[in-house]
Amino acid sequence: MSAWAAVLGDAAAHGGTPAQLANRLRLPTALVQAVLDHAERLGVVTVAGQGRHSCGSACPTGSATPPACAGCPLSAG
Amino acid sequence: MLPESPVGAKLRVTGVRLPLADAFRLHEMGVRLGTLARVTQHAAFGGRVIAVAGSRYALDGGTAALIDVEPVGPLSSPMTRP
Amino acid sequence: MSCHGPAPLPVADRHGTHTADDRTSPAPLRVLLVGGPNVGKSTLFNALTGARQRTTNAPGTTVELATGTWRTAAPGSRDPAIERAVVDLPGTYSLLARSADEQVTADAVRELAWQAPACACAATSRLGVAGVAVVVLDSTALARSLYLLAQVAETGVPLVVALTMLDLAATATDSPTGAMEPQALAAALVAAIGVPVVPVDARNRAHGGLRDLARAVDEVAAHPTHVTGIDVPARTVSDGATAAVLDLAQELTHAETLFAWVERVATCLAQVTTGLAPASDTDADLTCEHPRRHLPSGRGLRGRSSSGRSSGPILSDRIDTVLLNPWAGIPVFLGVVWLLFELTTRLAAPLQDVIDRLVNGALASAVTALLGLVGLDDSWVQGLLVNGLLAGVGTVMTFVPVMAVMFAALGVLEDSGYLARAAFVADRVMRSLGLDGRALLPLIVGFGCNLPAFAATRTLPNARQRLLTGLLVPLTSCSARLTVYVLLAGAFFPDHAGTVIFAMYVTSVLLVLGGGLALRRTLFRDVQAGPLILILPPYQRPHLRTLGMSVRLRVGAFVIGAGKIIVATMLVVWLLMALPATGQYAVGDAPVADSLYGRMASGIAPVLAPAGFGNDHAAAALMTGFVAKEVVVGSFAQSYAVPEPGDPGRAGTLGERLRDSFDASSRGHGGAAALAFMIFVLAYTPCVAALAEQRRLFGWRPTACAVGVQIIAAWVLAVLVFQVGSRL
Repeated sequence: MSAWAAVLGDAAAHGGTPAQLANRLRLPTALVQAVLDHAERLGVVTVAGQGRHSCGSACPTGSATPPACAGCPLSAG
Repeated sequence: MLPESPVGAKLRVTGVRLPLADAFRLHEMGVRLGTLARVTQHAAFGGRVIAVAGSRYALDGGTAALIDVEPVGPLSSPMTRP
Repeated sequence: MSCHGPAPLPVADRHGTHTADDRTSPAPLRVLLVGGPNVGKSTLFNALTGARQRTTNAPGTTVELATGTWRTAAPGSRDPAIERAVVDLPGTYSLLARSADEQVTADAVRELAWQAPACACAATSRLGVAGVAVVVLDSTALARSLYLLAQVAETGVPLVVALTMLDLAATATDSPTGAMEPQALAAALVAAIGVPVVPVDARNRAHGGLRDLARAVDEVAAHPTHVTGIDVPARTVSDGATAAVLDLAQELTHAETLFAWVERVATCLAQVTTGLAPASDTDADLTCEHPRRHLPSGRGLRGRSSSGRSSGPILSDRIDTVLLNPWAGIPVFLGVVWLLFELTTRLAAPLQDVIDRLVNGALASAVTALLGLVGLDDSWVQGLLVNGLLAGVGTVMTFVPVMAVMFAALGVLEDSGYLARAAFVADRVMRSLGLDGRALLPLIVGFGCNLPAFAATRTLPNARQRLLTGLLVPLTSCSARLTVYVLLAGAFFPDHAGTVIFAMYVTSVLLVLGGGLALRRTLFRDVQAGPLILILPPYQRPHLRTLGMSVRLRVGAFVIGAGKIIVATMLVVWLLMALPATGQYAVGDAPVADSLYGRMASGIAPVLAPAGFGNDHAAAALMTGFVAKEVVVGSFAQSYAVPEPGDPGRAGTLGERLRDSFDASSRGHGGAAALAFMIFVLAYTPCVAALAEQRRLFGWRPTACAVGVQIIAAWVLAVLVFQVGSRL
C-alpha cells in the first residue's frame, strides 16, 4: 500500500496526530506531514492545531482558527 | 474506571460519557472505543495522564472519570500498542 | 507555441533597473528560487545577488518579491561576467496554493515552464531556455522537500536542486541522512532523481558551493534535464497558469503517484544511508524495495529514535513523575513561575536602566544641545520634544527588555513542553474561576509586571478566557506599586512596614479571586471550565532560531501597537503640565500647581476626601501614577518640593511631609488614609503602558469599561478602608 493510501486510511481509522500516524505506520514524520498537507489542500482532510505539537500546550489563537477546531471544547467561544 | 487504574495499567476504552463535542474531540485525537491506552501518571486532584499510540494525553479528574475502560492482558495488537 | 500565462515577473537587467522588454540585448537567464519556508532561500538569494537586488510587487498582487542580478565570471575564459536574473519566490510547501504568496510561486513556476522548450531534446536545447528553477531542499526534512520538488518537476521546468541546512542535518537526531557527507548525499540524490544536485552553504561565499550552483544552472539552461520518474503532463493551449477546476478523483490518483515517487526516492536515500544500496545507480528505473522492510524499526542510522529531537517518551515519563507528582508538581510549578517572575524583573531591570539612561539622559541632552544651536533650548519646544515625545519613546523602549524576556521565557516554556504540564498542574486551582490551568500563569506574572502578564494571556485557548484573565491582571500588585507601598508603609507604620506590605499582596490575591468570581457570575457566565484534554508533547530543547524570530515579531507588535498610545498619552500629560491655568505664565513656565495639570489635581482632590487623602499632593500623585506607578514617589517629591529619596523606605523629609498632609486631610487619621491610598493604588489602572497593551489585545470597549470599573472600585475600597480604619 502506498504511503498516501496508508496515511489517509490510518487517519480515518484511528485519528491522532501526525507523529502517531508516523509511529504506527513506521514512516518518516516529515513524509506523513507532507501527505496530510497535500490532502488538506485538496480538502479531504482537516488537520487541527498549529505548529509541531498540534493541540499541545496552546490552541490556535486569534480570529482565524482552523475549521477543525470548531467542535473543540478548548477553543469554544 | 480510569481514575481507579494504577500507573502502568493497560486498558481498553469501552465508553466515553462526555458531551458530544468533547467526545468528538477525543475521537479525533485518537481516543475511541477500542483504543488501547496505558496509564502513565497520577496527577493531583484526580488528573490522569494516559499513553495512546506513543503520545501522552493529560486529562483532568472530571474528564477521566467519564471515560470507561477495562483492563487488557499483556498481549495486544502491535498496530495499536500505546 | 504561444504562452498564455500570467504577466511575466519583473526582471532586473545588469544595471539593476527593470526592463519589461529589452530588444537590444538578450534578456538574462531567469532563475527562480523555489522552496519551503525557512529552508535558507533568502540567505541563498542574498549570497547570489549581494547588493544588486530590489523589491517589487508580483504583478497584480501585493506580494513582495526580491529580484536581483547574479553575476559570475565565466569559468576559465576572458568573457565578461555571466549574469542571471534571480527571483526569490515566497516560500511554499506546495504548488497547490492556498494563499496569495503561494499562488505567486505556483504561477511563476508554471509561467517559466510554459516558456521552456516542449522537450529536452538536443536539437531544441541549443535554443536555450528562458529560465531555470533552483529548488531549495532542506536536508533536515527531505521528505517534505521532495514532495515540492516532485510538483515543480511535474511542470516540466528545467531545474537544479540546491541542498541546504546540511550543518543542521549533521547534528539532527531524527535525520537519517545526517550521517552522510554532503557530496555523498548529493550523489545519492542525483542518482535517484536525475538532475544536478548541489550542496550549498550560502553563508560561505568562497567555498559554499555557489560556483558549483552557477555551473549547474548554466549547464541545465544549455541542456535541460528533467527529474526521472516524474511524468510531465501534456500541455493544452489554455490559461494554464490559472488554477483549473479540480477533479477530486483525478487529484487523488495524482497524489498517490506523487507520493509513490517521494517514498521511492526517500527509500533509496535511506538504503544508501544504511549501506544497503550503492551511492549511485545508473539505472533510471530505481529498484528500491518497500521502505518498511529495510528501515530499522523507528531508528535512524546511529540508532537514534525517529521521534525527533526530543528525549523520547520514556524519558519524558520519568521527568513527569516529578513534575506532575501530586505533591512535588505544584511546588515545582511555583518555582518555575517564580523564576519567570524574577527574570522579567531582575534580568530586564539592568537593561531598562541602560535604555533609560540612554534615552532620557544622553539622547535628551543631545536633543537639547541641538535645540540650543537654533536658540530653542529652554523653550516649550524643548519641553515638548524632550519631556513629552522623548519621554514617551523612552517609556516604550524601557519596556522592550521586559517584554522580550517574557516572550522568550514563555517561548522556552512552550517549546520545551513544560507549559502544557504547568497548565495541567494549575488547572484545579483555576477551575473555581471558570478558567483552566493556563490562566494562572499570566496572573502570577502580573505580580512582576502587568504588561507582560497581558502578553501571557495568549496561552489561553479562547477569546473569552483571555478577556476574563486580562480583566483580572490589573488586580495583581506589580512591582512598580511596591515602591509606593514601601514609601507609605515606612512613613506611617515604621515598626510594621513588612506586615503592611505583605497584607497588600494578600489583598491583591483576594481581589483577583473576588473579581474573578464576580465576573463569572455576571458578564462571563458563558465561560465554563470545560474538560482539560491536553496532549503533552515530549520534552525537547527549544528551537532557538524560531524562538528568536517569534520574540522579534511579538516585541515589534508591542512597540508599534502599544507604543503609539503610550507616546500620545505622555504628550498629553506634558501638555497639561505645560499649559498655565492663568495668564501670568508662559507655556512651559508655570509651576505644576498653576498648570492645567495642577488645577485638575485640585479639582479631583475633593472626590478623594471620603478616602482620607483629599489633598492636591495625593491627587497629583495618583494622576501621574495613572501614567506609570514608578513615578508616584517622584511625583510626591516634586509636589512637596523635596528631593526624591534614594530608598523609599527611608523617606526622611518626604515622609514627614506626607504624614503632615495626610493627617491634615484625614483629620488626624493619617495611618488609615495611607492604607486607603495604598488600596487605591493597588486597585486602580496599573499604568498607561498596560492600558495600551490591554487595548491592543482586547479592544477599546472592554479596556475603557475596565478602566471605569477599576477607578470606581478603587475609590469604593479606599473609602471603605478609611471609614472603617479611622473608627478602629
